[in-house]
Amino acid sequence: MIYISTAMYIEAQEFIKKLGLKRDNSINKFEVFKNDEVVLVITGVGKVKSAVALTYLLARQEITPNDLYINFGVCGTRDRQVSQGEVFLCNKIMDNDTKFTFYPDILFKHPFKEAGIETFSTVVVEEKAQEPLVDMEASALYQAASVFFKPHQIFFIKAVSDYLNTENIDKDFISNIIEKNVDKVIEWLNHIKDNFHYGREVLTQYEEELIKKVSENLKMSATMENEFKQLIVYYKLLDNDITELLNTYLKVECKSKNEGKMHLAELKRRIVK
Amino acid sequence: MQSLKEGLLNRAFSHIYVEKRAMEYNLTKEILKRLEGSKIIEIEHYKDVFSRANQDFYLQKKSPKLILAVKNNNLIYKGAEVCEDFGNKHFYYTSIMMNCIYDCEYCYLQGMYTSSNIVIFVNIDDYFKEVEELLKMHPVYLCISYDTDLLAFEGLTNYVREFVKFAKVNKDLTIEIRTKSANFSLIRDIEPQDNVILAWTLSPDGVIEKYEHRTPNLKRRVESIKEAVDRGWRVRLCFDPILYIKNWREEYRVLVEEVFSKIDADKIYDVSIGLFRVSKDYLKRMRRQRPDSIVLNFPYDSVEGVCSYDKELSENMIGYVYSLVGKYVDKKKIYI
Repeated sequence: MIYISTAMYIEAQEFIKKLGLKRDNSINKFEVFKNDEVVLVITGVGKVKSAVALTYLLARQEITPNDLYINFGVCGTRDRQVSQGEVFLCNKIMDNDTKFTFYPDILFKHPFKEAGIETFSTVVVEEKAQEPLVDMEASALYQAASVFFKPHQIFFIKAVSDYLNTENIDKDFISNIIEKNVDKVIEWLNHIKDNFHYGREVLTQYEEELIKKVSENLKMSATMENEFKQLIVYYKLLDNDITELLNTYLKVECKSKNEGKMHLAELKRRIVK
Repeated sequence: MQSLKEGLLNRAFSHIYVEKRAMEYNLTKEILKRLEGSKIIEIEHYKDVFSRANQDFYLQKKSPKLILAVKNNNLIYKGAEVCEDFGNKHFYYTSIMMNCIYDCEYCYLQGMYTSSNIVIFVNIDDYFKEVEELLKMHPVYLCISYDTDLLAFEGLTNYVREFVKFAKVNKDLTIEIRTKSANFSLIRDIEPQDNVILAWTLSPDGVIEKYEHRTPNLKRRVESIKEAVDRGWRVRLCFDPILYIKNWREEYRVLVEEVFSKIDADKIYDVSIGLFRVSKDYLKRMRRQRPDSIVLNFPYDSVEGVCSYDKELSENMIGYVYSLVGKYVDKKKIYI
């Protein structure tokens, strides 16, 4: 699943349109749009609002190692060399209030320029930022997202809208910037989604259930069950058929933990021969 | 299982994180020049990147980043109990680099560090100063390549060269440089020193192929060793860690015979033999990083917090390899 957050609807509307996202009416505290592969939340502007909305959304999900989180939106810059509309992937996020820094892992190749971004609590009108880019959510969103995701699953993609002089910015201008860049972002996300499959579990759910049953039959303690599972994992990695092995033990019923221990020792001898 | 299509991830060192205070060091400038094209990100402290929570050690290994930093305190550590001290009373080690370009499945660094990004501390002179202080008190035996592989990085750091130079003028210091690399050519021109030991880790080709990802094969390691020995370097051979693998007897027999068919055993300084062993806590973290690793999922016995093979298997394996090596090397020179 890909999770996207934007601060404002105007930053989300192109994603909603192009990805065919539908409003999730089961959530009424925030505007959430989704399809089978993407969930988008409009967080509102500012650190607290954005962190609350993202946490609210993510806490209701089962996040997996294959999932990604993307914050997309416009930002300002103090660098006049940067063209308006240029898109950046943020490789450093600084919180202006605390000066804490956060670093998403840039493991995936991407088609964007990179820069650091600084998050302010109020609209920045003076050129006082230390980082090239400026916004009002990134540092809070990173902290919220990192509760659920690893640093390589978190992305901040920002389109430059202004040179810290927001009074001249109108909605059409922002829509225009977003519209120009959204295809590139979607194409890149699809590329990662199609090529990154990171499930590394050895046992299937069915095998896990069998282990649980055997553990009950053999009156195993939690430690014994862990040891048993470890043996089964090792046995499977050696290319053996564990279903057959587990089925043998499914037929065994122990009367005591000690009896179970003997079976465990015998299994270890059998596997490590 | 996993699938990571080729070309999905950035190349190694696509990004270099540099501490502000490391910027002015010559080594930093040289490395940045050599790795032109990498993105440079200025940081306050290396731990801001290296010690982040919840990093994916395994994935980072596939796209490792470089961190250049300055370390101020605790530059030299007392040697750990689980490490062979080769009879040296004042046994120390130092980690002027953390992590390694190789990707050995059994490596304890996976359990020790939260990141597989590579840190280079660029203030080598401070390390030398701290060693000089110790030398005022007693002789020092110092392992400089434990939590990394310095020779593998020689092309970027010249740290082996620098340490050998330092050892040349500090005769009470003995240095061990442990490696799996085949980079001897990079230090070929240096005059060997009696107080510098080059220690090569050797494994059967089957182990190298399956578990020591990205390391040079046995043939290349042996070529490097032969050249070092022939040029008069003190060379230690480390059959460590010995792993319980399919046909382990045959694999280790072929290894030992192959090594001593190419290298004159009489010219070897000493030999170390050891089984895979790792702290229980590290192993737990290592298994989490690599849930599908055969070598890590072996049902090891845990004794006083250290996991290894059970007593019977341990004695069997150590005894066997000891007897193989003993055919070539004086037993007084074999450390277990």
